[in-house]
Amino acid sequence: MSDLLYKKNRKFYILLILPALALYCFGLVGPLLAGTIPSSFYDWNLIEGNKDWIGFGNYVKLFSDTTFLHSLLFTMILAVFTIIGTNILAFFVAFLLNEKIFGKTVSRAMFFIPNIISGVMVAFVWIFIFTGAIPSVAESIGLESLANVSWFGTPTMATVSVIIVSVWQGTGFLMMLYLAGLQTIPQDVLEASTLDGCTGLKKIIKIQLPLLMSTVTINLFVSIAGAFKAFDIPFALTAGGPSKSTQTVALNIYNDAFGSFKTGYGSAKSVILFLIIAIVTIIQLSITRKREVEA
Amino acid sequence: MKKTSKIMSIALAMLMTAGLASCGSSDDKGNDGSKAASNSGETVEVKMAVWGSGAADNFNKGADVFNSRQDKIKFSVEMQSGDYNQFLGAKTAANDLPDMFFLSPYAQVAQFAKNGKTLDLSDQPFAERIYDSAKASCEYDGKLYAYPMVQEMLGIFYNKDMFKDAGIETVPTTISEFEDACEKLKAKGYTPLAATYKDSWTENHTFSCLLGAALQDDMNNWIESMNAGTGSFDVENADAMFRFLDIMKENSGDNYMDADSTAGFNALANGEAAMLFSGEFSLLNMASINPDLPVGLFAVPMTDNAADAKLDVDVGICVAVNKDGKHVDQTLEVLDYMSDNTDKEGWIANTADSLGAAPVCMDYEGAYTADYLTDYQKYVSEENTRPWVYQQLAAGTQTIVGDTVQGYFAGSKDQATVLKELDQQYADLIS
Repeated sequence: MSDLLYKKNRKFYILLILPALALYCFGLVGPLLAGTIPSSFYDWNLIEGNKDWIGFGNYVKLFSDTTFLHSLLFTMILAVFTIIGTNILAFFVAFLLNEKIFGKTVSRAMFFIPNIISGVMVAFVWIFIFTGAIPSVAESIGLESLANVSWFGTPTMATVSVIIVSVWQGTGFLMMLYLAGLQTIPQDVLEASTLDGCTGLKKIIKIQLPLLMSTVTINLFVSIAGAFKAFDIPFALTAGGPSKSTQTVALNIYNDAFGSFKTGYGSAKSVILFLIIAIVTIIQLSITRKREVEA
Repeated sequence: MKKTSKIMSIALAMLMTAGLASCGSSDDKGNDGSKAASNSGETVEVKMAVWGSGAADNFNKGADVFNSRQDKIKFSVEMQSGDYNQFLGAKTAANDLPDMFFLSPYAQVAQFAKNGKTLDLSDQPFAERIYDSAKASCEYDGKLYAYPMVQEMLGIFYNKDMFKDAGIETVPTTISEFEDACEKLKAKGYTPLAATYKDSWTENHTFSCLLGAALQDDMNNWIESMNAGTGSFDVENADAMFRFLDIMKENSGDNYMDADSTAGFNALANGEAAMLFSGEFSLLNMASINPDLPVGLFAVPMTDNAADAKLDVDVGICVAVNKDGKHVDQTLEVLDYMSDNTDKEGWIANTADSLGAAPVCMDYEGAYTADYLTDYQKYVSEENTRPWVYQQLAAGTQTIVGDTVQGYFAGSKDQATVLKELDQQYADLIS
């Protein structure tokens, strides 16, 4: 788009984003600035009805709150595994589905379906798979060791279960974006590379991935923000158990704010979570943006 | 093309506005209607908020009986399917509590009374009828601030057929008899205990019963010291408590951490396990699966002394009346109906007299009989019961106890860690 055209129509463009911006401010920026941030400075308990200004008291307290710190650690672990897992798997699946294979559209839909089912439903299905389906199938084919796995029995296994289900659900959406990205790569570039003898893995790394960087940026952004906000799957799958070992930050905030009604304390934790996500995504955006190339 | 889409969108917009407007007007009509009714002294609606449970159907039946007997008051029970405490918190914050609502005994009743939200019920007719043992759960400052609707029992429910088959003649009353029974059941190929440990609230119930057994007559002193911030979960008999937990772990089958409460309740009902450490509410599932299963009940045998095996019986549900409700008189009338133990077809008959239902805290000749109820009545009439420990500790205790003891079941925390963490978290809770 030419700069001249942009300057001429600038007012009109701004006008176009106004409705969305207004809704965004009303639903997100407003409550954050007028609600969450101010209330994080209060000792505020909804049921007891007290609301006392304590300055940074909540923030000081949360850095010695072992449950919160553990939930932060667990969220990081979950984030690293799901971000890497979903992106690699999504790219792989997208790459396969981009080829001329049998039943392409049906397969695409199949991979996308987990994304449109609610997290709670997904968790219930997987509880059945872990405790009902896997043991029965493993037993019937004589795999005693698999049948005896306790998927929620130890903190480690519960973490593995949460990661598996999160990756399973998150892959479909990212796959769609990768697929769309792969299809925007001009055929002539690909043909030229083939003629020059660049095929197989080399073609993926040298040609397709660099041209996909804008999609990678978006996908990392989406999966990072999603991983740090993880709530529904851990909540329904393990309820944070055993013994709070799979409690994410979002779940920890929920338990404090809506379980114990520590509204002020929960708000302070939310602000910290907000800052963490903001910092991580800003760093990620600045790194991956630099690597974007145009065909 | 452009024009048609414009016309279409305008038409759609108009349709939507019309829709909104019609909603608004129908709402207005509804409000006017009820106002007119209450002015002329016709029907007044009394709402009672209850937490989600399998008993909701029975509550509605109980309400229907009341509504069919008169037409001045419409009694409606509203079950909150989500987190009940969240609902209460939101309604308290908005000053919009229903006419009547369920509260947990002790701490929560005291909290609402302290904040001036609930009505003093000391002079209500039910106060004469209820057991003295049930009063403490609803008292604050020497006055009754709620009606103790039912009392619940925690203990070990067992499949009588399996016990007979395994050659267990009498129910275990000591820890060695309990271990012996488990071995006999295992020898017959039965899973001795049904696991429920994925839901941490079941661990809280278990641990609370064991604490009661460990404390015995010292319970009240200990609770006082805990609430004063000087006590510790590391009680004298702590080793025995953890020994019992170990026995439970050894006898709950494979992968016991993967089973939640529903799975455990069903395991007893289906005959997959011989015993279940839980409350009478766990039998509600059985009503639809296997209602004729002979199920007995015995108190947790944690020590070597048979006299220590007392059944854990305490008030489970308290009903409070909103002090600022619009129809306090009518609400009290409903409460009187609910607590009438001479009414053989009323509230009690519909809600507290069936398989898995908790019995009322007063004398009532029920029509439903079952082995576990006979066992329960024997414990009650011999005064061989004790109250639940956790309900008398600070609000929020159940969560920290459940979550921490779950770590012991999962093997990620040992006895010393569990006790240390419980003390730390409890100190945070009351600070």
